[in-house]
Amino acid sequence: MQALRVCAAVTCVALSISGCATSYVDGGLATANLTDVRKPVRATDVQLLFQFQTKGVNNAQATDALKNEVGELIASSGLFAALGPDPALSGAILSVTINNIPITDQGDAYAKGFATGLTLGLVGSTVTDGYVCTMEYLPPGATGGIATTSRHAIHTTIGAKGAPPNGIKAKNVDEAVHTMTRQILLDGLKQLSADPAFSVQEAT
Amino acid sequence: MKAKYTLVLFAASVLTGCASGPIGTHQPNMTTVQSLRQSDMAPTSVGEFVPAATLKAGRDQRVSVRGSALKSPSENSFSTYIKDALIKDLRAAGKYDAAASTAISGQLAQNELNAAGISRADALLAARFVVTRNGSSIYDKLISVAHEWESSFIGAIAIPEAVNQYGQMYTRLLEALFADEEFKKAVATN
Repeated sequence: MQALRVCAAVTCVALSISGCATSYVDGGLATANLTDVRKPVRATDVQLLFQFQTKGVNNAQATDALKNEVGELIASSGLFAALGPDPALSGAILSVTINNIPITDQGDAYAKGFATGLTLGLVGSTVTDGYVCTMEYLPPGATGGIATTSRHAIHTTIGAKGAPPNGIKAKNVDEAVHTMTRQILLDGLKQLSADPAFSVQEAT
Repeated sequence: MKAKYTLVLFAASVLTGCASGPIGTHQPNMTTVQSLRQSDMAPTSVGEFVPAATLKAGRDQRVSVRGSALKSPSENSFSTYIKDALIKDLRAAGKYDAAASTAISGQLAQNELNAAGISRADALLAARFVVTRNGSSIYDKLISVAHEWESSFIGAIAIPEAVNQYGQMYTRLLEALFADEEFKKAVATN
C-alpha cells in the first residue's frame, strides 16, 4: 500500500511538472513582419545551412523538425532568388543557427516544477528559455561575411502563476516554438537586408 | 500488484520522457563547409561504411541512454550514418562526385555512450577511414573522438542532452578526419 501511495505521489508530481504548463512567447519581437525585410533589386541564389542548437550543441531532431519551415520563410522573404542545401552557383552561403539557451537554470527549473507539483499547482513558477539566432551570410565571391544576431524568449508558467509581463500566450508549446522561430528569423532577415554590406537596394 | 507496476512505469515514463528512436540527421555547418571549400581537396566519392569486426555486438544498430535506445536514421546502421554524414558534408562543400576516382570508405570501430552517471556523461566514437585512388589504398587510419559533458541525475535533463551530444559526435569525428594532415594530403588535387 505504501508503495502505491509513493507511486501515486510521484505520478502526481510528474503530471504537475509536465501537464499544467502554459507557454508564452516573449513580446519583444511580436511586430516582426515580412514587410520589414528590404528586398534586393537583383536577388542572388544562396546555399542555406541551418542548425537548431541546445546550449551550443546541435539538436538534430529539432533541426529536422524546423528546417523546412526555416527554408520556406527565408524563400518567402524575397531576399534570395533561390535557396537550397547544395552549393549555389553564385557561391553565396547563408548559415542560420538558432541556439536555445535556458535562461532559468534547468536544475532550478525542475526544482521549481517539483515544488509546484508538491503543492498541487498552488505555488506556481515560471521558467524562461532564451533563443539566439545567428545569421552568417557569405556573399558571392567574398571572403568575409556579414553576421547578425537576434534574441527571443519563451516563458513557461507551471501551476497557479500569472502571465509573465510582455508574454503572449500560445495555444501550446508547439505553437510557441513555431511563433518564436518565425519572429526571430524575420528579425534576422530584417537586419541582414539593412546591412550596407549586403548591397541591397529597395525595390521600387 | 499490477496496478503498482503500472503506476511505477507511468511515473517513470513521465519523469524521464521517451527518447527511444532515431537520432536526427546530420547537418553540415558553416565552419566545415568553409574549410572544405577553401581546401585543395579534390572531389571524392564515398564508398561503403560497415561495422568493424571488433565493434561490440549491436553497437552498429543502437546505443542506449538510461534504458532508452538511440538508433540511426540511416538504414538503422551507425556505419551508414557516417557514410551519409560524409556525403552531406562533401556535397555541401562542392567536394562530392559519385564518379570520382578517389573514394573514401570505412569501418565503425567503436561506438560508446555512457550517460548513466549522475553528474558526468561521455561518448567515444572511432572509425577506420580508407582513401583509395583508382583502386589503390593511399590512406588508412583510425580516427577517434571522445567527449565528456555535464549531466544530471534527472533523466528529463540528462537524456535529451545525451541525445544531442551523441549526435554531435559524428560532426566531431568528421571534423577530426578533415583536419588530419595525412588525410588532407591523400585527397589533395594532384
